[in-house]
Amino acid sequence: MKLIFEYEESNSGHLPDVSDDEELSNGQEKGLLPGLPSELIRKELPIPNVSEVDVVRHYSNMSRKNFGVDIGFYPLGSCTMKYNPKINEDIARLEGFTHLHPHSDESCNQGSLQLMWKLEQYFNNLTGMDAFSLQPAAGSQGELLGVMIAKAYYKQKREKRTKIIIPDSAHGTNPATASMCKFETITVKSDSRGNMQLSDFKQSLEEDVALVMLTNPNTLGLFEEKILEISDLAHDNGSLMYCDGANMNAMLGIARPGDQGFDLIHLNLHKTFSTPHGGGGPGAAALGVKNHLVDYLPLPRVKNKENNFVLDYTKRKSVGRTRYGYGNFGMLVRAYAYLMSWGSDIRKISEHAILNANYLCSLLKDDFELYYDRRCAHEFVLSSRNLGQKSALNIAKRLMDYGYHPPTIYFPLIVPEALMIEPTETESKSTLDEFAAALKSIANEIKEKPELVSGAPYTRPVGRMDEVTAARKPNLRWQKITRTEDQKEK
Amino acid sequence: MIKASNVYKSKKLIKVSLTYCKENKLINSITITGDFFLYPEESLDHLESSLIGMKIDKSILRKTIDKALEQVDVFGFDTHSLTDAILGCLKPEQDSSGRGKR
Repeated sequence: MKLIFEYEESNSGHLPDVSDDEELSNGQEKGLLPGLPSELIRKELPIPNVSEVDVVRHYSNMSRKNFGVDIGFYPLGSCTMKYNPKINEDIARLEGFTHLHPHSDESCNQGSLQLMWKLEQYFNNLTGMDAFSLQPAAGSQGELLGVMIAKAYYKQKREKRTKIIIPDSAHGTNPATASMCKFETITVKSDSRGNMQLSDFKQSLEEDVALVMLTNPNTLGLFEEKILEISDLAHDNGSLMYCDGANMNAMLGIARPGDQGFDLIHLNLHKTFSTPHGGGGPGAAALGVKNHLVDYLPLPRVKNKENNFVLDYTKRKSVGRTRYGYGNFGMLVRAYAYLMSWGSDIRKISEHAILNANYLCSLLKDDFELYYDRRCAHEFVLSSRNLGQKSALNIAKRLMDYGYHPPTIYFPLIVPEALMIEPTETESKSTLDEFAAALKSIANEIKEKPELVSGAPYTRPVGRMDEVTAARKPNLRWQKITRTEDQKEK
Repeated sequence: MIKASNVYKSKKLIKVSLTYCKENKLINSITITGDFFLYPEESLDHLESSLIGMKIDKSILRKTIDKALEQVDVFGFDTHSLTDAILGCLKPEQDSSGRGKR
C-alpha cells in the first residue's frame, strides 16, 4: 500500500500554488492570504497534494488493514485483549469530564474527584487492599511505583534488603523493574504443577529479600496453590508480597490478593477493566497497598470529607509523583463505567473468562501438548513441540490467514514451542469452536503440507517478515520509492 | 494563622488560596489554581513551594515569582498578575476558603 506522500504527481492540482505568486510573497492582500506578513508566508507547502476523495479512500483502506478486538478474535495470552464497551466511550466524552482543566480548583471538580474516590473504594473491595493510587500511566509504571515504595519502606525501617524473588514463569517486566530500582533478582523454578517450587523458594528466602513478586494466577494461567504458605514464609522473613495484577481478570469477585497475603498490587486497567489497550495511546494502572504502606503513595490523594472531595497534598513518606495531574483520567472514567455496568454481577466476568479458557483448552489439548495438565484459570499454555521446531511461530503466522490474531508465542519461557491462549469472557462458544477448528486444521497442514505453513501468511499486506532484522535494524524513516520506467510499464 | 483566598482575573483566571501568619505576613501554605497553563507542568509545584515562607510583600513576591518562573512557559498570567492575586488575599473582604498545603 502506498503512503499518502507517494501519490502520483498527476493527481496534483488540489492546493493553490503560492510559490510563484509575487504579490503574495510580498505580503499584499490577495485571495486566501489577506494581509499576512511576508515572513510568515511559506514559499513551499510540503503536504500531499491529493483530493478529498483520495485522502478519505487512502485512510479508510488503511484502517481496514488493521486488526483489533473490534475486527476479530484476539486470543493474545497474558494481555486480556477484551472488548471495549462502547458505552464507556460515551461516558468518557461527557463534557463535564472532557472540559476538566488540570489546574482547576477542586470546588469545580467535585464530580470527577468523587469518581476517583469511588473507583478507589471499588478497587479496595475487589482486591482486599486498603488504598490505591490511580496515578500510574501504565501497568509498568504501576509496577515501578510499587517497587519504589518497597524500597522507601525498607529505607525508612533502616533495613538493607537488596533482593527480589521472582518465579521463572514471570512477566519480563518484573525483573526489569527490579533492575531499574537496583535490586538483584533471584529466579525460582516452577514445579511439575506450574506452581513456584516451594523448596527452592525457601532456600532463596534470605534475610536481605525485600519483595516476593508473583503473578496470580501465574502466566501459565494456573492459580498458585500454596500462596498462603508462601505469603506466611515471606512475612515471617520480613519481606513484602507484591502481586502483578496482570491476571486479575481471573479473580474478580472470586478471590482477593489482599486475602492471599499480598501487600501491594498493580492493576492494569486496560486488561481487567476494559479500557482500550495501548498501541501508543494512554494506558492506566492503579497501585494498591495495605495500610502499612499507604503513606508512601504518590500525592495528591483524593479524600472524602463528609461528601466534600478534596485533594490531600500532605507529605508523609510519599515517594513522589509518577505522573503530573491525577493519572490518565479518561481511562479512570472508562474503568468506572465498566464497573458500574456490571455492579454486583462482577464475579460473572471471571467465571465466564475461566469457563471459556477451560472449554477452549479441552477442545485443543488432544492435538497439542498441555504441559501442566490442570484446570486453568483465564488462560492456558499449550506446547506444539510434537509438531516440530519453529511450529509455534509457523502456527501463529498461519492463523493470520484464517483471520485470527495469533496467540502469544514462546512465552512463558519454561514451555517449549509455547502457545499462550486467552479467550476472555466476551467470546461466544461458536467463536471458540471456529478458532479451535482453525488451530486443528493448521496442525494437520503442518503434517501434510509443511511448506505451506512455513511460508505463511499469504493474505496479509506484509508476508513473512525477518523479525530479527526488523527488530535490530528497524527502518523507521519514510523514503520515496523511485520507480524505473520498466516498473511503471509493468 | 489566617486563611484567605482571592480570585483574580488575568488573561486566565487565577485563584490563590493561602494561609499566613498574622504578625509577620509570612506565607505558611499556598495553592494556586485556575485555567492557566504552565510547561513543564511540575513547575507549579516548584512555584508554590518557593512562595512558602515568603512575606506577602510586592517586591519580595515579584522577585520570588520571577525566579521560580525562569525557564517556564506560562500562558494565562505573569509575575505582575500573580503578585496582585496574592496581595489580594490581604484584603479584609476575602472569603476564608483556603485549603491545605500543597
